[in-house]
Amino acid sequence: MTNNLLSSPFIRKPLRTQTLMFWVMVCLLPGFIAQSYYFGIGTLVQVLLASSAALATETATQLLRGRSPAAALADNSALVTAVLLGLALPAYAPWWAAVIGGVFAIAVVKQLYGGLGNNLFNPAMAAYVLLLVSFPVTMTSWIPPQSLLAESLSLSDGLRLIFTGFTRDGFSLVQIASVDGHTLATPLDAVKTGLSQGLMTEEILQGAQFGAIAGHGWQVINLAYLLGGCALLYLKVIRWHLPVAFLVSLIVLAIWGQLFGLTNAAPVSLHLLSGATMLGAFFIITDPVSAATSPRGRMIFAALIALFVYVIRTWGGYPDAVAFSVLLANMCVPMIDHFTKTRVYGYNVEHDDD
Amino acid sequence: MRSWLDKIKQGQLWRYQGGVHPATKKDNIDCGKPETLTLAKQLVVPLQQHIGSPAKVCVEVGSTVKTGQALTESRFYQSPPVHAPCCGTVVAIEARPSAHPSGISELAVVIEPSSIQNEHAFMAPLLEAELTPELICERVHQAGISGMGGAGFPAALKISPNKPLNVLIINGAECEPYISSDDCLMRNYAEPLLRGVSLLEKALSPKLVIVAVEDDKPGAIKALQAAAGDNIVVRAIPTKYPSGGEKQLVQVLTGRELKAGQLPIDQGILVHNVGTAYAVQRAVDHGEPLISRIVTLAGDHVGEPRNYWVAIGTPVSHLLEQQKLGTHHQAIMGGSMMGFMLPNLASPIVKTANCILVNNTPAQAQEQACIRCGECAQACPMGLLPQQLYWYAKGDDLEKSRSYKLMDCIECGACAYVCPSAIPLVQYYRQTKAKVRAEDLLAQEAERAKQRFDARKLRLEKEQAERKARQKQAAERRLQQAQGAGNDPVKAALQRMQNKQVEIKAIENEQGELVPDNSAAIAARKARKAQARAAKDAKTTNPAVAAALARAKAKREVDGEQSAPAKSANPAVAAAIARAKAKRNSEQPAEAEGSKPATSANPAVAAAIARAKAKKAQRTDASQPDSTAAKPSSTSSNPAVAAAIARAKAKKQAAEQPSANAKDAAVAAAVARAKAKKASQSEQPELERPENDASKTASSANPAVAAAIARAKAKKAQAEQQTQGENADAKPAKSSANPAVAAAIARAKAKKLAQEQQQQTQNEHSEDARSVSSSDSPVEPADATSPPKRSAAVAKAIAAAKAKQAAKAASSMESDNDE
Amino acid sequence: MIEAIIALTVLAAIFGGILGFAAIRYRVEGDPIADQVEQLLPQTQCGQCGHPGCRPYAEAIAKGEAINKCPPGGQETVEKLADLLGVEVPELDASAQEKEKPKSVAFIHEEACIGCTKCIQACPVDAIVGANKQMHTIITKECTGCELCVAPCPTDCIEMRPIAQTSRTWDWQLNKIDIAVIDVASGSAKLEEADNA
Repeated sequence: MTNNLLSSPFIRKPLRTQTLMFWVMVCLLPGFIAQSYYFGIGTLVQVLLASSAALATETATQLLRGRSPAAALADNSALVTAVLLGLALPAYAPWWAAVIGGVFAIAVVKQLYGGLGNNLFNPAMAAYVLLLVSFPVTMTSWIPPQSLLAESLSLSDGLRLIFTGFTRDGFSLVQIASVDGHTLATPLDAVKTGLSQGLMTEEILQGAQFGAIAGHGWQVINLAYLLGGCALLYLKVIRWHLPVAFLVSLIVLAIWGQLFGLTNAAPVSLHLLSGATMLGAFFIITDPVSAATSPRGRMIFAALIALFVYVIRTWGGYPDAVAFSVLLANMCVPMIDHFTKTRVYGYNVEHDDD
Repeated sequence: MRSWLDKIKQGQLWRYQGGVHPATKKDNIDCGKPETLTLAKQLVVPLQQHIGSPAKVCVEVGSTVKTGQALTESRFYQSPPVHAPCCGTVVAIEARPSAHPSGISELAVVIEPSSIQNEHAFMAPLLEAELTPELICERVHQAGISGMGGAGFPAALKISPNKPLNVLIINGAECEPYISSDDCLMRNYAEPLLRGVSLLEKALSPKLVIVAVEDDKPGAIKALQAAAGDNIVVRAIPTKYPSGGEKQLVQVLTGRELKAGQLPIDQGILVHNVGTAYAVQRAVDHGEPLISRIVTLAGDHVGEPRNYWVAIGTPVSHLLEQQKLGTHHQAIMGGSMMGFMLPNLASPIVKTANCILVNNTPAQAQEQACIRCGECAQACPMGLLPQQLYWYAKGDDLEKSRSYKLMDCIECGACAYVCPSAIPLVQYYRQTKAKVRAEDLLAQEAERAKQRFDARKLRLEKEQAERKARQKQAAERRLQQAQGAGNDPVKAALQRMQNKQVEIKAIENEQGELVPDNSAAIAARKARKAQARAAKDAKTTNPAVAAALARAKAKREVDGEQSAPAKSANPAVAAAIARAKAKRNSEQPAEAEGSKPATSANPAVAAAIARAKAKKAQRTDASQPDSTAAKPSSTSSNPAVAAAIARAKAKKQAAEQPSANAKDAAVAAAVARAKAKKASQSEQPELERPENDASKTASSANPAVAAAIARAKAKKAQAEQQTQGENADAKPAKSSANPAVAAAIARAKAKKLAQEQQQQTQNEHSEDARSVSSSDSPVEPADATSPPKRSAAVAKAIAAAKAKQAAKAASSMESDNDE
Repeated sequence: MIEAIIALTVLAAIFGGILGFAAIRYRVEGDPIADQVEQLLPQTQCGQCGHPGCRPYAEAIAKGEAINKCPPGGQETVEKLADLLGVEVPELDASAQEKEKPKSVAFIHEEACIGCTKCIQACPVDAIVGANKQMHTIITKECTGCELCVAPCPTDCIEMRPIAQTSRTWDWQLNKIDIAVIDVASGSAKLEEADNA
């Protein structure tokens, strides 16, 4: 008889890490579909590019570290990282951006820190920031939603754009992105430039790229991510603390900005349904590895991200700020953890003795 | 505002943080009246089935016991006794695999049941009229009741009333999956159980009694409610794991949180298991001790999961047989959340064993990396941060583990249950906790050692000071007396009794050695006693035997082997020899065994002699190089050397005797030996005046006495030789008139000197040696170029009882020869 | 010029006063480092470090002696000391002891004891009871396992015995347990393997 004495408990909840990761990806689907609807084939290509780069890197690094790549790949964590990165990249960013991002996220941000569970920073966001800082123009070149384009981008043109930089007709991304001769920026970008030009918020929101609530297309995408996020909550893959604290803080800050009549304050709806807000709230800041541990700490962590997002969006040089904010908050995690230890049963007991 | 107790009474329930909801898996377990399990072929009753210390065994191997008879006894409540679960015979009291996750063997009484089980030795039932809290308490202790929920805290200790009690909680929560023994008990024995509760109430007089049952056991709740009177509240609590934990249950029912290190009683709350309450009823109303309990047998492999009344001590394998379960399974004792896999199915059912699970051995899930998802922290009922604890446990960071309150972990397993990465968290915590405990223990021991060390240092310093003061005083007194009167009392004493001198000197000598002051007095007293005995011996033949025996016994714990020969035909001889043997006992037991077969007619005595001889012979062999090396120097007409050689030879001769002449070995050998020694000693009459006394005594009627005395003499002589050659201080030892005293003192001295000399000779010698000869070996204890000292060294080498010394001497001899 | 001198002198006087006051007010008795070091030492008082007890060694460490001379404490103590003193972790002095032994306590073979009291005098923590010519015995609970009593015994009747593991001191190393196979057919427990390694 072999020695396989096990320790209690002898039963386990069936929910496993790979299942969790799998559900995360499933819940990303609505957002992904919405994004694909508005931006075409580019999103899928970016996701695929980032995924293959990430999985290849994961395999390679595991082999280099003398571990079984199968075990690491099985937990789906690299895949989730890659998918998030792919979704965050501009749909028609050149192919090498996704590859560099995927390799960097896995090799440097994750494995160099010791693999899953040991990374200090969110791999997808760290890779995104690397690309953003290195290739600012490329990384901010979002084309407007397809419906706003003069002529919709065909499938082959999309692929050519990614892999060669030009469509069959020789148009570059910048040329395609311009409507009526001037470039259509993303809604947040538009607000930022508009405000800097001294326009009133209302005036800016009249722009072509704005829809009923927030940016045209972006509002739907964000709502789709919200839907996916709710599913995650329902499935108990994530707990409510992080997204709720994040969104509430963001709302509070936005309202505060409006109340005090900050000249460059964007409306609440814009904050909530533009850029990567919802993707961030439910899928990015909820990465458990790099987030704070205790529920209270997580709420502080999320609020901190919201603060950074608001500050950078309002006063910073970049239109969106989820990636930067997440990284900044990641740096604060050890301190947050230190100060938000849970109260252990039996310590600091207050009695309502009567 | 309603008072706290009112709130509880009115059914308010509180919540505790964390907890999980595993599938209870109790639906298909038969909770009907439990069947009593047949007795196994052997019952193993571990002495310790509780927290605390084991009680003293009060039965012997071979004694017959009746059902309910106490196997151990103790007055202390922390050591509840264990009882015989059946009529039968005690076949062993030995270490048996325990019902513990380690399976480490622990002391247990093994009982073989007899075929007829009709007798019992229950205590007399207590009458209602005479019930007092103290009496109930005493009865609970006598019945060996300890907590039956899991921890096994002695129940009597818990109910000895010392603090005011507000709420008595009877724990019937039974929150673990599978386990249904309490459920079964509550359903089928509600009335006696509640009677037990009221007995506990009587003993403790609480303001409120609550029986708490999880709401997934409607049958039990119904049965209890039907039987409960007005004064007992039966409360259904929400099903959640681990509500059955003491702290959690207290919080659910009373809203009180126990401070770290607090016991419920510190807040006026007490928790008892329903099983305990039932056992109390049995003990008080029937006088029946805790000898059986309900055990659930369940799990994937169990065809008909059900409950059994199982006698305490029944091997788990016997229980498994009931369901035709082979032994290829691994059984889990306790539930699936907190139980443990039994390394050994021979482990018995103990008082705390509520369930045996035979499940599919779960495939050891691949432990994945912690993704810090925080599920464990959500599940932890103690509010700990399991993921951090895991981190520190892995890194062996005991300091951090402590600061994250690892020691407050109740090992409920909720964290590991929810962990998506399948990390055996509890196992990590247990190992780390064991390390922390070990560290604590070390720290405690270090602290105690330090205290003792410091105390000792102080004491030694004080003694030193006192001794100095005393010596100074004595010197002053002597000076005064010398001045005051011409007649020195010390001198007078010396003149009066020569032998007392010995003792005086001995005191001084030994004081120098830091020997306790009273040693001299003891020696003196002994000497007188011995003298008296010796005198008696000389006259009456038989009392001598007794005296010798007594002395031998006083010397050491006489084990059977040694005392057996002493009781036989010629006990005096035996005793003397036994003493000799004791001296060198540990030297060569193997050899001693080997020489045993040579004995005959009077086997006991002969055996003892043979063994003693064999050892001596062996020792002589060891010192052989000494004697051979000494031969050349014997021409230097030094009597000491000659004597030593003669003695060695005599011993060898004597060693051969028992085999050659086995019949009369006993007496003959002793006489021969004594003579041999005497002969060797008489070669130096100018040195050995007291030998004459000795030989006189020795030639007296009883050869046994003679032998003993002669041997003592020989020893002493040996010591003297050394001291003569070496140390003028040793002189008094030889002037002893009383052989017993001399022997006692000389023996101690010989040993001490043997050691000292080794160094002294070495030092002094090598100096001498250098001045006289060319030999410059610094590690030469017996330098051939300095005859008088050399002789002493040789004698010492022979005298040394230790083989290592002999070996050393031998080796140095050899090196000398080489030169 | 003169103001500057006066100002500096006054300042010097003030700070000197403050320092002087602090030196008296916050005076630390004894050597706190030595105390802390002593806290970490195992207090076996075995003298294997070459000092007569743990306190003297602690004082020596405070004065800069090597921290790797304590075999009873083992590498663990060395690490703790290094941590306290902020120095590199040296290996446990190999010459001090060949290997870390399991913790042992002395045991007197009582039938061989002649009651010489030598071991009593050697024991640094008074863990041996006995009197002259009376049999001696070890108070196991108090024995630190320093082995100082072993050498002086003239009959070599003292032996160091490792402390056996009990279920209370068990370290939860589940994979170190051998599993016994039980012959149920015969009804008796037959151990094919040792029940515990």
